[in-house]
Amino acid sequence: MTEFVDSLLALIPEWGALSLALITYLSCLAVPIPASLAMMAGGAFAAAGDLDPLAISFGALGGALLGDQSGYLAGRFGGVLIARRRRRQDPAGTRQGGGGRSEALLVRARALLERHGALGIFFSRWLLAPLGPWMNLTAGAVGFPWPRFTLWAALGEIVWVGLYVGLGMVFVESFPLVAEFLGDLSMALVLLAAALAIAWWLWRHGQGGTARKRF
Amino acid sequence: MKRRTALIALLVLSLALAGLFTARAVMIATMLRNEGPASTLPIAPWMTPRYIVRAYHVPPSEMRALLDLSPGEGGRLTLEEIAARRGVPVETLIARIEQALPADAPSEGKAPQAESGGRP
Repeated sequence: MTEFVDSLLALIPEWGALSLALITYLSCLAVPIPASLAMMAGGAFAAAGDLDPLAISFGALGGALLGDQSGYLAGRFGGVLIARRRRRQDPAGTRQGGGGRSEALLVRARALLERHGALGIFFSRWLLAPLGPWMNLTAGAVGFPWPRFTLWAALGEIVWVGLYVGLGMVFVESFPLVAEFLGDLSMALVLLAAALAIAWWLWRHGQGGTARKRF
Repeated sequence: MKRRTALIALLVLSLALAGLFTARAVMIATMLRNEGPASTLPIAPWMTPRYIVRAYHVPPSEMRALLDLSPGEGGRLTLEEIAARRGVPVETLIARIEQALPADAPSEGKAPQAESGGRP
């Protein structure tokens, strides 16, 4: 393991729930920090009798929930700023081109999130975890309803924390390898999801193109 | 048309990378399976005495003797902190523990090293 990971793991028995709260908080803001590994370590130290499993779970959950809210707020703030600047540059909303295209993209992203956002937010907490921080920003930027965001993010984080602390308690001897295995699997799933999305786009636009040519 | 070609390239790249990550995951799973329930980690400075007792099946009394711990001392301290308090290099403590481990437990250099990425 790298020295950074070793130092991170050394913080956990000493700082307990607080260290996990900080780690999960930062991971929700896209800071590249191995939060799942840290939670598994927390679980392993709990199984060994060093830490209280409930305390570390609540710590990790608190950090993750706060992190999600921070990401959402940052996205919201950024989204409002962009909209305000656009309105200042083009008060009547008549200008075409780049501005219009990004506006259309935002509208489409909002429609997509409104249709499938709840599931996207839920699964990007744990199954497709690498997407989580970006999902928070996007949900905030497109104005996804805050109560729905909070509900689905919280449900997803409960699964994330419960799953990884629990796995740490079971795989006390080999948790770093198990964390690596799950991290790889999660990345593979994210990449497959991206490939599916691209394939879907190509198929749809391929069909549209043919239809336009025909008529 | 240009955009289509770029997207097809991206699609192929995503699938190839997904394949690589899956292959790595399968490799790790095989390693975990072959190692069985035995520890797959060498003793490290971040470990606590209780963690070593639990993960490497070392009797608590032996652990206390190895680290010169009085009963109740060393609770959540890591090996690194214990070494610093004793004024000895942490490697000395690690070597002492490794010598006392059961034969099937891994030692430094023998066990697979785990790396770690971002979330999760």
